[in-house]
Amino acid sequence: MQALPLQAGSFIFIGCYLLSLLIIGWFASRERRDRSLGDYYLGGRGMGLWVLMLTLFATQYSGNALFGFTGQAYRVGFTWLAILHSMIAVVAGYLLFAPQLQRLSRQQHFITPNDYIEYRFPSRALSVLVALCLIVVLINYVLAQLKVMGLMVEGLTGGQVDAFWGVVVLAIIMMVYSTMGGMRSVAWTDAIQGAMMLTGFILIALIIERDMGGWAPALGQLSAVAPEKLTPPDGRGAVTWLSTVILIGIGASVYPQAIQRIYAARSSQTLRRSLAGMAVLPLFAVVVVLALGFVAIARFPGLEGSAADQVMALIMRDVLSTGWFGQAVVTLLLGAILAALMSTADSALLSLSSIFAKDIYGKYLRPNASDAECARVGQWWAWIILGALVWVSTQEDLTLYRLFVLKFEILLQIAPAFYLGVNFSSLRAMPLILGLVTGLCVAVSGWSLGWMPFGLHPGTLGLLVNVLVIMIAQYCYSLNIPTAKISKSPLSE
Amino acid sequence: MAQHLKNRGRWLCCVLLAVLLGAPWYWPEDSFGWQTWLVPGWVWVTLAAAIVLSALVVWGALRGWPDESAD
Repeated sequence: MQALPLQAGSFIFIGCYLLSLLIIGWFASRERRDRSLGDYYLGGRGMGLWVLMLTLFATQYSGNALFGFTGQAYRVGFTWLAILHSMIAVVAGYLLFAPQLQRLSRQQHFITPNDYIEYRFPSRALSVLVALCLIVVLINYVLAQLKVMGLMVEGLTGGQVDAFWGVVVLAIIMMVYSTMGGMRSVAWTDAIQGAMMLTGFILIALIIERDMGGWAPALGQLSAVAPEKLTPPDGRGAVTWLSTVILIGIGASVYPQAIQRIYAARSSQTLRRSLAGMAVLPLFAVVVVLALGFVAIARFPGLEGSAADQVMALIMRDVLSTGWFGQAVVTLLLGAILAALMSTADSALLSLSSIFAKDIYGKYLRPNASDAECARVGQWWAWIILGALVWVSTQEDLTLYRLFVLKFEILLQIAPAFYLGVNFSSLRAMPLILGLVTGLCVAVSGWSLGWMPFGLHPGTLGLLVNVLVIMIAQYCYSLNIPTAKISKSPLSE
Repeated sequence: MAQHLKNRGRWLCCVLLAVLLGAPWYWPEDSFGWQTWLVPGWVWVTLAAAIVLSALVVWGALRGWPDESAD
């Protein structure tokens, strides 16, 4: 990535922004009421409407949304509009299980997603399996953010600062404020980041219209430059479209960090209103991000593979050349992008830390440990795992979209435990375990082989197999076990 | 009974959402492909479907949510 011609003021702004994160962390640490896990990992379950909506937004829209979505729009053209439907489908997915889950979490004091699994399906095997899947997903998620952070630091400094050292500095800042304030500092920084990102998108859209020739001529050139990117999906493409909507719509709704935000909502009304707001945001955020990718097709032709992930940087370079206002907007957007990466990574790290502290250390390694001890161990675990991931992030060579997809292949397989578990009180643990293992085998082997039968993503195929196995096993289970011997589901009480 | 009907309504909404989300399934390669303002017609249809979806989800969140017992 080539260096952006930024003025000193832009670097000062970004420096001030990073400093403000530490200050927010300090304020958040003063707000802590006690040393309990609920206070540290869920912010005392008191998250209000705007903070909840913006933190959910920031959690869903990460570095992938900014660089990966634009890059994919550039690569495949208008068929990537599927991502717009997918991001709305995420909120539709929440509606199918979040209300019941939020009510249960307040009654049963859940901290991690696995707390719900253990409560609903008293099976150690299922609980361990889900915890392992979540850990793998979260590690992948953090890795993707670190990878983009490295690209961004190199891009901003023109390669003068090595990606590794850039990521190290950002990771330390991130860990300091999240260690100080837990969920509070993460959610507060998310809220600021979400607001900055939305403002930046609106302003960049205005600049393209006012100073860069306008949207209409740019889109109008597409039919001459790349007519193949205007065509609707064919039969196989339509299957891939639907598969993408299922993959992201269902997969992203069971992000462990998003589930913890559901737990952290002040009330069900707060959660409901936040989700209503979340359903509208893609119409602005995703449409602008995609439009940037489409405009770039005509403006910067010839980018192939992972090079297409840099179209956002190329657009920012053009916006910078429009004058002081462009400079200010790009600076704001860069701050927002940096914050998007950091807040997504810190949310995932906090979730990772809580799963290790509560589901592994507190349950299996030291069952009698106090909340304060578990929280402390979780913080140390987060530092260690982040250190390892910073190193790994500079070794991988995958495009952003591929990193993005891998986590969904796994997340999708644990989704039935939440969607079906909440809505079908007769569902037992064993059918879920069988479905999960089968689905994982199909999804992961399909992913590693680059297999997409009929245009279906391996994760979606895995989910179909998963649900089929659950239905068959549940039916067999209900036939073979006398009703009296089946323990009553907590949900049917 | 009212709760049961609400649940039915919720699942019906899900089916409608799925149909809208899966709209490209029903687009033959040459239909909806006419050139309109700036981009082909199918793109505008897709955007319109997204707006309808978004409105349905907002309705679902504010009105159609069946579980009100939490607070």
